[in-house]
Amino acid sequence: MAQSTDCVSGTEPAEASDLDLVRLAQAGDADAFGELVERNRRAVFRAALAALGSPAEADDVAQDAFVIAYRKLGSFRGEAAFRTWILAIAWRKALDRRKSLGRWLRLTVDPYAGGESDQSTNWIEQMPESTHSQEDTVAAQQLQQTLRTLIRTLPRKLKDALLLAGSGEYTYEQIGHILGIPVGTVKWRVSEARRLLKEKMAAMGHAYEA
Amino acid sequence: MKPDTSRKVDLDDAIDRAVRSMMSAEPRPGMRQRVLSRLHETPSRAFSFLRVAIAGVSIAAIALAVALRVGIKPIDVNEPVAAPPQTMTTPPRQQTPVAAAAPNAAPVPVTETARPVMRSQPVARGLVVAQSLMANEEEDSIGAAAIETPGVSPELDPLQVRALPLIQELASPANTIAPIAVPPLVIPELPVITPIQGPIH
Repeated sequence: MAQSTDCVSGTEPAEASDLDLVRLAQAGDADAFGELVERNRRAVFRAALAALGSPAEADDVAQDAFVIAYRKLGSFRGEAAFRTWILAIAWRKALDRRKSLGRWLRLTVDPYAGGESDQSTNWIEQMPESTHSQEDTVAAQQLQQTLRTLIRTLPRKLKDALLLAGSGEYTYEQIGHILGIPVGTVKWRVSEARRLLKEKMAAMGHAYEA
Repeated sequence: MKPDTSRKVDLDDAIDRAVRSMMSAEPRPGMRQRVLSRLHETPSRAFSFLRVAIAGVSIAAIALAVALRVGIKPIDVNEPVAAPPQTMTTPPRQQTPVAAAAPNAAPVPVTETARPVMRSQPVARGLVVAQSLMANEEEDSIGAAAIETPGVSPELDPLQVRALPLIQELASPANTIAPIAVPPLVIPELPVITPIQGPIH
Protein backbone atom coordinates (compact mmCIF):
# COMPACT_ATOMS: atom_id res chain seq x y z
CA MET A 1 0.00 0.00 0.00
CA ALA A 2 1.37 3.32 -1.00
CA GLN A 3 1.98 5.78 1.77
CA SER A 4 3.36 9.22 1.66
CA THR A 5 6.82 9.26 3.19
CA ASP A 6 7.78 12.84 2.61
CA CYS A 7 7.49 15.86 4.81
CA VAL A 8 7.52 14.26 8.25
CA SER A 9 7.69 16.95 10.88
CA GLY A 10 10.98 17.19 12.74
CA THR A 11 9.45 17.03 16.19
CA GLU A 12 7.22 14.03 15.39
CA PRO A 13 8.77 10.60 15.54
CA ALA A 14 8.56 9.08 12.06
CA GLU A 15 7.38 5.75 13.42
CA ALA A 16 4.46 7.12 15.41
CA SER A 17 1.34 5.17 14.54
CA ASP A 18 -1.77 6.80 13.15
CA LEU A 19 -3.52 6.02 16.43
CA ASP A 20 -0.81 7.84 18.42
CA LEU A 21 -1.20 10.84 16.14
CA VAL A 22 -4.96 10.73 16.53
CA ARG A 23 -4.60 10.79 20.33
CA LEU A 24 -2.29 13.80 20.06
CA ALA A 25 -4.67 15.53 17.67
CA GLN A 26 -7.58 14.82 20.02
CA ALA A 27 -5.57 16.57 22.72
CA GLY A 28 -5.35 19.63 20.45
CA ASP A 29 -2.07 19.03 18.62
CA ALA A 30 -2.76 20.41 15.14
CA ASP A 31 0.68 19.35 13.91
CA ALA A 32 -0.13 15.74 14.69
CA PHE A 33 -3.25 16.06 12.61
CA GLY A 34 -1.15 17.64 9.87
CA GLU A 35 0.99 14.53 9.89
CA LEU A 36 -2.12 12.39 9.52
CA VAL A 37 -3.12 14.51 6.53
CA GLU A 38 0.30 14.04 5.00
CA ARG A 39 0.21 10.29 5.43
CA ASN A 40 -3.27 9.78 4.05
CA ARG A 41 -3.74 12.55 1.54
CA ARG A 42 -3.05 10.44 -1.53
CA ALA A 43 -5.36 7.60 -0.48
CA VAL A 44 -8.14 10.05 0.36
CA PHE A 45 -7.61 11.98 -2.86
CA ARG A 46 -7.75 8.85 -5.00
CA ALA A 47 -10.92 7.57 -3.35
CA ALA A 48 -12.55 10.88 -4.24
CA LEU A 49 -11.04 10.67 -7.72
CA ALA A 50 -12.58 7.23 -8.24
CA ALA A 51 -16.00 8.64 -7.40
CA LEU A 52 -15.75 11.94 -9.27
CA GLY A 53 -13.25 11.43 -12.08
CA SER A 54 -12.02 15.00 -11.75
CA PRO A 55 -8.70 15.74 -9.99
CA ALA A 56 -9.78 19.28 -9.09
CA GLU A 57 -13.01 18.12 -7.50
CA ALA A 58 -11.25 15.22 -5.79
CA ASP A 59 -8.77 17.67 -4.25
CA ASP A 60 -11.59 19.80 -2.87
CA VAL A 61 -13.38 16.78 -1.47
CA ALA A 62 -10.19 15.44 0.13
CA GLN A 63 -9.64 18.77 1.89
CA ASP A 64 -13.23 18.87 3.08
CA ALA A 65 -12.97 15.29 4.32
CA PHE A 66 -9.92 16.10 6.45
CA VAL A 67 -11.59 19.18 7.92
CA ILE A 68 -14.71 17.17 8.76
CA ALA A 69 -12.57 14.42 10.25
CA TYR A 70 -10.81 16.94 12.50
CA ARG A 71 -14.14 18.27 13.76
CA LYS A 72 -15.39 14.73 14.41
CA LEU A 73 -12.14 13.50 15.88
CA GLY A 74 -13.71 13.32 19.32
CA SER A 75 -16.02 10.55 18.10
CA PHE A 76 -13.15 8.43 16.75
CA ARG A 77 -12.72 5.50 19.16
CA GLY A 78 -9.93 3.70 17.33
CA GLU A 79 -12.02 0.59 16.60
CA ALA A 80 -11.04 0.87 12.93
CA ALA A 81 -7.86 2.27 11.44
CA PHE A 82 -7.78 6.03 10.97
CA ARG A 83 -7.25 5.54 7.24
CA THR A 84 -10.37 3.40 6.93
CA TRP A 85 -12.34 5.99 8.89
CA ILE A 86 -11.17 8.97 6.84
CA LEU A 87 -11.70 7.05 3.59
CA ALA A 88 -15.32 6.40 4.53
CA ILE A 89 -15.80 10.11 5.26
CA ALA A 90 -14.19 11.11 1.97
CA TRP A 91 -16.25 8.60 0.02
CA ARG A 92 -19.53 9.88 1.48
CA LYS A 93 -18.48 13.43 0.75
CA ALA A 94 -17.57 12.51 -2.83
CA LEU A 95 -20.90 10.77 -3.35
CA ASP A 96 -22.72 13.85 -2.04
CA ARG A 97 -20.85 15.91 -4.56
CA ARG A 98 -21.48 13.43 -7.36
CA LYS A 99 -25.21 13.71 -6.70
CA SER A 100 -25.25 17.47 -6.18
CA LEU A 101 -27.39 19.68 -8.35
CA GLY A 102 -24.58 22.19 -8.82
CA ARG A 103 -22.25 19.56 -10.25
CA TRP A 104 -24.94 18.33 -12.59
CA LEU A 105 -25.50 21.87 -13.82
CA ARG A 106 -21.76 22.42 -14.32
CA LEU A 107 -21.40 19.22 -16.29
CA THR A 108 -24.45 20.11 -18.36
CA VAL A 109 -22.92 23.45 -19.29
CA ASP A 110 -19.40 22.11 -19.75
CA PRO A 111 -19.16 18.33 -20.24
CA TYR A 112 -15.39 18.44 -19.68
CA ALA A 113 -15.71 20.14 -16.30
CA GLY A 114 -15.86 16.70 -14.69
CA GLY A 115 -12.31 16.08 -15.79
CA GLU A 116 -13.25 12.88 -17.55
CA SER A 117 -12.02 13.98 -20.92
CA ASP A 118 -9.69 11.89 -22.97
CA GLN A 119 -7.05 14.56 -22.59
CA SER A 120 -5.81 12.91 -19.38
CA THR A 121 -3.54 10.63 -21.35
CA ASN A 122 -0.02 10.41 -20.04
CA TRP A 123 1.90 11.05 -23.23
CA ILE A 124 5.28 10.32 -21.70
CA GLU A 125 4.17 6.77 -20.99
CA GLN A 126 3.01 6.49 -24.55
CA MET A 127 6.22 7.56 -26.23
CA PRO A 128 7.25 4.81 -28.64
CA GLU A 129 9.80 2.46 -27.20
CA SER A 130 12.65 1.33 -29.39
CA THR A 131 11.35 -2.26 -29.42
CA HIS A 132 7.87 -1.24 -30.56
CA SER A 133 6.91 -0.05 -33.97
CA GLN A 134 4.97 3.16 -34.32
CA GLU A 135 1.98 1.13 -35.47
CA ASP A 136 2.02 -0.89 -32.24
CA THR A 137 2.15 2.29 -30.21
CA VAL A 138 -0.79 3.83 -32.02
CA ALA A 139 -2.78 0.62 -31.63
CA ALA A 140 -2.00 0.52 -27.90
CA GLN A 141 -3.02 4.15 -27.53
CA GLN A 142 -6.26 3.49 -29.30
CA LEU A 143 -6.94 0.45 -27.13
CA GLN A 144 -6.31 2.43 -23.95
CA GLN A 145 -8.56 5.23 -25.09
CA THR A 146 -11.33 2.77 -25.95
CA LEU A 147 -10.98 1.06 -22.60
CA ARG A 148 -11.13 4.33 -20.67
CA THR A 149 -14.30 5.25 -22.51
CA LEU A 150 -15.83 1.85 -21.80
CA ILE A 151 -14.87 2.03 -18.11
CA ARG A 152 -16.71 5.34 -17.82
CA THR A 153 -19.83 3.75 -19.27
CA LEU A 154 -19.87 0.89 -16.75
CA PRO A 155 -22.61 0.86 -14.10
CA ARG A 156 -21.49 3.02 -11.19
CA LYS A 157 -21.27 0.21 -8.67
CA LEU A 158 -19.00 -1.80 -10.94
CA LYS A 159 -16.95 1.20 -11.98
CA ASP A 160 -16.37 2.33 -8.39
CA ALA A 161 -15.14 -1.11 -7.34
CA LEU A 162 -12.93 -1.49 -10.40
CA LEU A 163 -11.28 1.93 -10.02
CA LEU A 164 -10.71 1.57 -6.29
CA ALA A 165 -9.23 -1.90 -6.72
CA GLY A 166 -7.17 -0.89 -9.73
CA SER A 167 -5.67 2.16 -8.06
CA GLY A 168 -3.43 -0.04 -5.93
CA GLU A 169 -4.07 2.14 -2.87
CA TYR A 170 -6.50 -0.06 -0.98
CA THR A 171 -7.02 -3.61 0.15
CA TYR A 172 -10.26 -5.38 -0.64
CA GLU A 173 -11.21 -5.02 3.03
CA GLN A 174 -10.75 -1.25 2.85
CA ILE A 175 -12.76 -1.08 -0.37
CA GLY A 176 -15.52 -3.09 1.28
CA HIS A 177 -15.53 -0.65 4.20
CA ILE A 178 -15.57 2.37 1.89
CA LEU A 179 -18.44 1.03 -0.19
CA GLY A 180 -20.24 -0.53 2.76
CA ILE A 181 -20.35 -4.01 1.21
CA PRO A 182 -18.75 -7.39 2.04
CA VAL A 183 -15.35 -8.26 0.58
CA GLY A 184 -16.91 -11.02 -1.53
CA THR A 185 -19.20 -8.48 -3.17
CA VAL A 186 -16.25 -6.22 -3.91
CA LYS A 187 -14.44 -9.08 -5.65
CA TRP A 188 -17.55 -10.01 -7.61
CA ARG A 189 -18.04 -6.42 -8.77
CA VAL A 190 -14.45 -6.13 -9.94
CA SER A 191 -14.70 -9.43 -11.77
CA GLU A 192 -18.04 -8.47 -13.31
CA ALA A 193 -16.64 -5.13 -14.46
CA ARG A 194 -13.77 -6.91 -16.19
CA ARG A 195 -16.12 -9.41 -17.78
CA LEU A 196 -18.33 -6.64 -19.14
CA LEU A 197 -15.34 -4.76 -20.52
CA LYS A 198 -14.06 -7.86 -22.29
CA GLU A 199 -17.50 -8.56 -23.67
CA LYS A 200 -17.77 -5.05 -25.06
CA MET A 201 -14.27 -5.18 -26.49
CA ALA A 202 -15.07 -8.49 -28.18
CA ALA A 203 -18.22 -6.97 -29.62
CA MET A 204 -16.06 -4.19 -31.06
CA GLY A 205 -13.89 -6.73 -32.82
CA HIS A 206 -10.94 -6.91 -30.43
CA ALA A 207 -9.65 -10.44 -30.04
CA TYR A 208 -7.98 -11.16 -26.73
CA GLU A 209 -6.14 -13.91 -24.99
CA ALA A 210 -8.32 -16.01 -22.71
CA MET B 1 -9.51 3.78 -37.52
CA LYS B 2 -10.79 0.22 -37.44
CA PRO B 3 -9.75 -1.96 -34.50
CA ASP B 4 -6.88 -4.22 -35.17
CA THR B 5 -8.18 -7.76 -34.96
CA SER B 6 -5.10 -9.38 -36.39
CA ARG B 7 -3.37 -9.80 -33.05
CA LYS B 8 -4.61 -10.90 -29.67
CA VAL B 9 -4.08 -8.64 -26.71
CA ASP B 10 -4.01 -9.38 -23.03
CA LEU B 11 -7.13 -7.49 -22.06
CA ASP B 12 -6.65 -7.93 -18.32
CA ASP B 13 -3.31 -6.20 -18.59
CA ALA B 14 -4.79 -3.52 -20.82
CA ILE B 15 -7.64 -2.93 -18.36
CA ASP B 16 -5.16 -2.64 -15.48
CA ARG B 17 -3.16 -0.05 -17.40
CA ALA B 18 -6.29 1.90 -18.34
CA VAL B 19 -7.47 1.98 -14.71
CA ARG B 20 -4.03 3.03 -13.48
CA SER B 21 -3.91 5.85 -16.02
CA MET B 22 -7.34 7.05 -14.88
CA MET B 23 -6.25 6.98 -11.24
CA SER B 24 -2.74 8.32 -11.72
CA ALA B 25 -3.48 11.93 -10.78
CA GLU B 26 -1.85 13.36 -7.66
CA PRO B 27 -3.31 15.79 -5.14
CA ARG B 28 -2.16 19.37 -5.44
CA PRO B 29 0.87 20.14 -3.30
CA GLY B 30 0.29 21.90 -0.01
CA MET B 31 -2.79 20.01 1.11
CA ARG B 32 -1.45 19.82 4.66
CA GLN B 33 -1.17 23.61 4.90
CA ARG B 34 -4.53 24.15 3.26
CA VAL B 35 -6.24 21.75 5.66
CA LEU B 36 -4.49 23.18 8.74
CA SER B 37 -5.47 26.71 7.75
CA ARG B 38 -9.11 25.64 7.56
CA LEU B 39 -9.24 23.72 10.85
CA HIS B 40 -10.26 26.64 13.01
CA GLU B 41 -12.44 28.58 10.66
CA THR B 42 -16.14 28.53 11.44
CA PRO B 43 -18.25 26.52 9.06
CA SER B 44 -19.62 28.70 6.30
CA ARG B 45 -23.35 29.22 6.35
CA ALA B 46 -23.46 30.48 2.79
CA PHE B 47 -24.41 27.09 1.47
CA SER B 48 -27.25 26.84 3.99
CA PHE B 49 -28.64 30.13 2.78
CA LEU B 50 -28.31 28.91 -0.78
CA ARG B 51 -30.28 25.79 0.05
CA VAL B 52 -32.98 27.81 1.77
CA ALA B 53 -33.17 30.13 -1.23
CA ILE B 54 -33.46 27.20 -3.64
CA ALA B 55 -36.17 25.64 -1.49
CA GLY B 56 -38.07 28.95 -1.38
CA VAL B 57 -37.91 29.40 -5.13
CA SER B 58 -39.06 25.81 -5.66
CA ILE B 59 -42.05 26.27 -3.35
CA ALA B 60 -42.98 29.53 -5.08
CA ALA B 61 -42.76 27.84 -8.48
CA ILE B 62 -44.97 24.98 -7.33
CA ALA B 63 -47.50 27.43 -5.86
CA LEU B 64 -47.55 29.39 -9.11
CA ALA B 65 -48.01 26.22 -11.12
CA VAL B 66 -50.92 25.15 -8.90
CA ALA B 67 -52.51 28.59 -9.20
CA LEU B 68 -52.23 28.52 -12.97
CA ARG B 69 -53.57 24.99 -13.05
CA VAL B 70 -56.64 26.11 -11.11
CA GLY B 71 -57.09 29.12 -13.38
CA ILE B 72 -57.06 27.11 -16.60
CA LYS B 73 -58.70 23.96 -15.38
CA PRO B 74 -59.84 21.89 -18.38
CA ILE B 75 -63.58 21.72 -18.84
CA ASP B 76 -65.38 18.44 -18.71
CA VAL B 77 -67.92 18.48 -21.52
CA ASN B 78 -69.80 15.59 -19.95
CA GLU B 79 -70.48 17.54 -16.77
CA PRO B 80 -74.15 18.58 -16.45
CA VAL B 81 -74.86 22.11 -17.58
CA ALA B 82 -75.88 24.47 -14.82
CA ALA B 83 -78.12 26.70 -16.91
CA PRO B 84 -80.94 26.28 -19.44
CA PRO B 85 -79.72 26.12 -23.02
CA GLN B 86 -81.14 29.38 -24.33
CA THR B 87 -80.72 32.05 -21.66
CA MET B 88 -78.95 31.67 -18.40
CA THR B 89 -79.64 33.91 -15.47
CA THR B 90 -78.04 33.65 -12.11
CA PRO B 91 -80.27 31.92 -9.61
CA PRO B 92 -82.17 34.12 -7.19
CA ARG B 93 -80.19 35.01 -4.12
CA GLN B 94 -82.80 33.51 -1.84
CA GLN B 95 -81.90 30.07 -3.15
CA THR B 96 -78.43 30.06 -1.66
CA PRO B 97 -77.41 30.16 1.98
CA VAL B 98 -75.06 33.01 1.17
CA ALA B 99 -77.84 35.09 -0.24
CA ALA B 100 -79.96 34.35 2.78
CA ALA B 101 -77.19 35.56 5.03
CA ALA B 102 -76.89 38.85 3.15
CA PRO B 103 -80.37 39.92 2.15
CA ASN B 104 -79.41 43.55 1.48
CA ALA B 105 -76.90 42.78 -1.20
CA ALA B 106 -78.16 43.46 -4.68
CA PRO B 107 -78.29 40.54 -7.07
CA VAL B 108 -75.89 40.63 -9.95
CA PRO B 109 -77.81 40.73 -13.20
CA VAL B 110 -75.59 38.78 -15.47
CA THR B 111 -77.07 37.01 -18.39
CA GLU B 112 -75.61 34.83 -21.02
CA THR B 113 -77.17 33.63 -24.17
CA ALA B 114 -76.86 30.15 -25.45
CA ARG B 115 -73.27 29.20 -25.81
CA PRO B 116 -71.60 25.97 -26.61
CA VAL B 117 -71.94 23.53 -23.76
CA MET B 118 -68.22 23.70 -23.05
CA ARG B 119 -68.40 27.37 -22.03
CA SER B 120 -71.56 27.49 -19.97
CA GLN B 121 -70.40 25.35 -17.08
CA PRO B 122 -67.39 27.37 -15.83
CA VAL B 123 -69.19 30.66 -16.32
CA ALA B 124 -72.07 29.41 -14.21
CA ARG B 125 -69.74 28.25 -11.49
CA GLY B 126 -67.80 31.50 -11.57
CA LEU B 127 -70.95 33.57 -11.37
CA VAL B 128 -72.31 31.77 -8.38
CA VAL B 129 -69.07 32.03 -6.49
CA ALA B 130 -68.51 35.63 -7.52
CA GLN B 131 -72.00 36.49 -6.40
CA SER B 132 -71.18 35.08 -3.03
CA LEU B 133 -68.05 37.17 -2.94
CA MET B 134 -69.93 40.35 -3.64
CA ALA B 135 -72.13 39.61 -0.67
CA ASN B 136 -69.00 40.01 1.53
CA GLU B 137 -69.29 36.57 2.98
CA GLU B 138 -66.54 34.62 4.65
CA GLU B 139 -64.47 32.40 2.43
CA ASP B 140 -65.68 29.19 4.04
CA SER B 141 -69.33 30.06 3.58
CA ILE B 142 -68.58 30.95 -0.04
CA GLY B 143 -67.14 27.52 -0.57
CA ALA B 144 -70.13 25.94 1.11
CA ALA B 145 -72.51 28.00 -1.00
CA ALA B 146 -70.79 26.96 -4.16
CA ILE B 147 -70.88 23.34 -3.20
CA GLU B 148 -74.53 23.40 -2.18
CA THR B 149 -75.75 25.31 -5.21
CA PRO B 150 -77.72 23.08 -7.60
CA GLY B 151 -76.00 22.57 -10.90
CA VAL B 152 -72.56 23.36 -9.55
CA SER B 153 -70.20 20.45 -9.27
CA PRO B 154 -69.85 19.25 -5.67
CA GLU B 155 -66.20 18.44 -6.41
CA LEU B 156 -65.24 22.11 -6.05
CA ASP B 157 -62.05 21.75 -4.10
CA PRO B 158 -60.43 24.19 -1.65
CA LEU B 159 -57.84 25.25 -4.22
CA GLN B 160 -60.59 26.44 -6.49
CA VAL B 161 -62.15 28.33 -3.61
CA ARG B 162 -58.83 30.05 -3.01
CA ALA B 163 -58.75 31.12 -6.62
CA LEU B 164 -61.85 33.20 -6.05
CA PRO B 165 -60.26 36.54 -6.86
CA LEU B 166 -59.53 35.23 -10.33
CA ILE B 167 -63.09 34.02 -10.74
CA GLN B 168 -64.39 37.33 -9.43
CA GLU B 169 -62.45 39.10 -12.13
CA LEU B 170 -63.90 36.71 -14.68
CA ALA B 171 -67.41 37.55 -13.53
CA SER B 172 -66.96 41.32 -13.56
CA PRO B 173 -69.29 43.33 -15.85
CA ALA B 174 -66.38 44.04 -18.20
CA ASN B 175 -66.19 40.35 -18.92
CA THR B 176 -69.89 39.80 -19.32
CA ILE B 177 -70.65 38.06 -22.57
CA ALA B 178 -73.07 39.92 -24.77
CA PRO B 179 -76.18 38.04 -25.90
CA ILE B 180 -75.88 36.38 -29.26
CA ALA B 181 -78.92 35.56 -31.27
CA VAL B 182 -78.73 32.05 -32.54
CA PRO B 183 -81.19 31.20 -35.33
CA PRO B 184 -82.87 27.84 -35.08
CA LEU B 185 -81.22 25.09 -36.99
CA VAL B 186 -83.10 24.29 -40.18
CA ILE B 187 -82.38 21.03 -41.86
CA PRO B 188 -83.26 21.16 -45.54
CA GLU B 189 -85.06 18.24 -46.99
CA LEU B 190 -82.75 15.98 -48.90
CA PRO B 191 -83.73 14.80 -52.36
CA VAL B 192 -84.84 11.24 -52.58
CA ILE B 193 -82.25 9.15 -54.31
CA THR B 194 -83.59 6.33 -56.38
CA PRO B 195 -81.29 3.40 -56.99
CA ILE B 196 -80.06 2.99 -60.53
CA GLN B 197 -81.48 -0.03 -62.16
CA GLY B 198 -79.88 -1.90 -65.00
CA PRO B 199 -76.26 -2.10 -66.06
CA ILE B 200 -73.97 0.90 -65.54
CA HIS B 201 -72.04 1.96 -68.64
